Order: sequence, then structure tokens, then C-alpha cells
Amino acid sequence: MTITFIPTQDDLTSVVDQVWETFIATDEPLLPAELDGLPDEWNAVVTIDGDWSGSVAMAMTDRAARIVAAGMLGMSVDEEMADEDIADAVGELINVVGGNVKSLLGGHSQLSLPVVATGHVVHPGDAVEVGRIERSIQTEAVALVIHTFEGENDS
Amino acid sequence: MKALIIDDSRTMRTILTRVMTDLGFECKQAGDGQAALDQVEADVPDVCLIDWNMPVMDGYTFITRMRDQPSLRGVTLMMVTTESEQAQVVRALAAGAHEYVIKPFTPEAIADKLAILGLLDQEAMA
Repeated sequence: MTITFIPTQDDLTSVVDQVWETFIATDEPLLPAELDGLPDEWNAVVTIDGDWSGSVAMAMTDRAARIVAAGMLGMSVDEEMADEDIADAVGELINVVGGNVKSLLGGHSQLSLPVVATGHVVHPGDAVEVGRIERSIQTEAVALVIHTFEGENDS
Repeated sequence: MKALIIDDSRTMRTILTRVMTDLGFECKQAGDGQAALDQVEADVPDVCLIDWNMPVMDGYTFITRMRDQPSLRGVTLMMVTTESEQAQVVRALAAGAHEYVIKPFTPEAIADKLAILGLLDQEAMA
């Protein structure tokens, strides 16, 4: 069985807002934004494979990633933070967001372990963007992007 | 009461340790199921909080291995995971998990589950 999945903005907003409010302990809100391109300082992605195949990725600026890590680790954002700690926090964020996106699907599929990198993500040639949420925190850009892998979902 | 937090994410281990410590538990951590098994044999906890998807040994396999050992069957096992498919929940509970929490979770959700399991000191909840 294959599933056609095009998430609604409400679906994605609900996922992002719930995960952010629950795990990122900050008084600063995550605000809707219109970004001038995707940030490319930190990227985290999980893939979903099964009845639906695609990816769930978050892109953010370095400062936004530090806000995420500080919030999750119970630190001040201006404290010294190793890249390893920021990567782990951002990876866990996309793990939970990806898991919640997966829960919007029907059928059966598996979530990959997260991959975190600095720089922008290059998607497979047959990847089609099917959803995007753009946000900012303290004017720092954060984006969630969903791609479907058309070649996989056509079978 | 002693808790073992089992998750390959250091961030998640930090979050859960904070939650459990606030609830009065003495916490230790393990980064995968195998490391957790090695720890529990030396120092048996009262409760394990277990992620599903981990390298080396995943949470489901850890639960089955715990249930295979008579000396460890008294340990309470709580899955804390992004896996939300009903079939997975049923599978984990059938394998021996006592409770199942889906991420993201609030500290209150964890406390509620522990209270249901009779593991929460009522003073810690006040």
C-alpha cells in the first residue's frame, strides 16, 4: 500500500508548536515568519520509509540552534556550548517532530535516526516539497520542510 | 527510588533525568539497550525509561531481554518514544513494557504514568 500525504499547514503548525512548547523551555515565542530562503547553518533531517516515503527536515540559524539546545538542556543560550551538544539537541528535536509528522500518516512506516549537519540539505532529484512552516525566534529563522520521494511513492 | 534513563540522545537523557530527579528519583543513564543491560545487572533500578530507536540494541529488544531474566522481572519498564503506531504500542506492551509515553511529553504526563504504576512518592508530587 502507498499513501499520498500532503500535510496541511494546520497539521504542521500543530506539530511544531506542540513540540516547541513542550521541549524548548524558553519564554520567547516561535513566531510565524516569511523567510528569505531557508537558513543553512544547521540542518537536521529524518526520513520516513514505508507506505509513504519522504523526509522531514528542520533548518535554522546558528543562534536558533543554540536557543533550541539551551532550552532542551536547561542552559543559558549565551553559555559555551559544544557543536556536539547543539547537534544532539537539534537531532532530538527533528526526531520528535518527524515522529509526530509520521503519526499523521496512515499505514505503516519507519522513521530513520536523525542526521544533523551544518550547511544546507541536498535532496534526491525526485524529492518534491509538500509542506513548509517558516518561523522565527528572536528574529532567528527556523523552518520545517517536508519532502515526498515521488519515485518511491509511485510504486 | 532508582531510575535508569535509556536513550541514544544525550539531550533526551538530560530532559528525562531532570524530570525524574524533580520527582524524587536517583537517576542513571545509558545510551543504548546493551549498555543499559550491562548496568542493570550490576545495579538494579526500580524503573527504566526506554527509547525505542537506538543503535546497538533498540528499546524493544532491551525489554524482551529484561523479561527473559527472572531476577529483573520486578523492574518497571516504561517506553518513552516517538513510535505512535498502535501496532507498536501493542507490541511493546505485549513484550513486557508496563507503560508507554509518546514524545513530546510533559513532566506531568510522566508523573501521571509513574503514579498509576505506584512508583511515585506522594510527597514528591506536592
